[in-house]
Amino acid sequence: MPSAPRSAQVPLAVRLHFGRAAVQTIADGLGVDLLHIKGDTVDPMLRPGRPAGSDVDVLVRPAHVAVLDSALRRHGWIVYSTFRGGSPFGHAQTYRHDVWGYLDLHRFFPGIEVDPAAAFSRLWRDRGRRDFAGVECAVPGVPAQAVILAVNSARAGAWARADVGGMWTDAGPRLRAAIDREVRALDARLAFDAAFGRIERHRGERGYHLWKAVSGHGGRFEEWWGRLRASRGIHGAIGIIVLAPQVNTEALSHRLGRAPTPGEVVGEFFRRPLRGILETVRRKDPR
Amino acid sequence: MSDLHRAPEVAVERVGETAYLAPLPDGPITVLEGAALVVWDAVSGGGVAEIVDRVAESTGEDAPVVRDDVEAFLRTLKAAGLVREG
Repeated sequence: MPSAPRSAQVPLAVRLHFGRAAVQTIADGLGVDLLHIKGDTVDPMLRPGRPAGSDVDVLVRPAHVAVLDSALRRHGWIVYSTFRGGSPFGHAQTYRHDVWGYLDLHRFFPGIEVDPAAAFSRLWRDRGRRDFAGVECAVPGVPAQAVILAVNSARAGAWARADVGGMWTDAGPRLRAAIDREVRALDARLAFDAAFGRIERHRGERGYHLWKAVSGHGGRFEEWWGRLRASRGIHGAIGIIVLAPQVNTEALSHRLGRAPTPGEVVGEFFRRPLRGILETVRRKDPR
Repeated sequence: MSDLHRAPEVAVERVGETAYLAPLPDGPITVLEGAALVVWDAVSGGGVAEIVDRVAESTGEDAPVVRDDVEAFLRTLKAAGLVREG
């Protein structure tokens, strides 16, 4: 006799496919434009042996973010970290779903400097298609995927940058030329060069300090200083100055594995600036 | 039961001899293997009698031998929202 349907261990790859299909289904119902990025969406020619990732990443048309955010919450996606609390760029919000796992909703992609709405429109215009669990999903074109992989690797550590170096080496001349055109069109040269260890070519540019910090050549103090230097206009700068001294309680919660107590928040408030200063001093005096 | 068909909102991923089913966009994920998978594969339109005949053909058993188990499992699939009547 057939056993009754049961819950069992589900392979991560299967769960990711379902997660993408679930988000796409919600988006389709609302007319929301989104592109599936990174992980298992990346074209095989760019990711020989690259792992499929552990979460779902999507880039959403900026004008559609609020609508999708509301719908995701209605369908059981719980905000895990917010745009403001998640990273120094404020680019992504992370959700967790009891069935599908984690989702990173990107409203823009760090390193792509053209206006987020214009960048999305360009990526959307050249989109391709992938099928996940029988649901058709849009993905960026292959050259744009390569740009996203590269600028993402600039923030992801030395191992990821080595991986992207291999991708570039393996790409033929036509693909390299197409990637280079995409870098230019998306104004992603600084982050792209940071991924390949060429950040010093951009010394003096607006984003230089931030990308130097996030690509592993700076510390917390330089990250905040870089954010300040890279911010567009006085409004962004004020936002960062206000945010900088605040304790990022989401990051603290995730580090502790529970909600921090008021005392821990206060303690973190005083420790964070100290940590930034200590990192700066240690680099200047490496003893 | 009248004609049975797979619920259109159910997505399916197959890995080897295992099928993972999930109604989108909310889940949950259900895992089917072995005889359960044979019954699921047999749900492709038609009534219960036709599905029983398909299962019998797939397994090499006589229809009367498998009928009760297949009917019971179809009720389970229907209760889980994976199979629909009509």
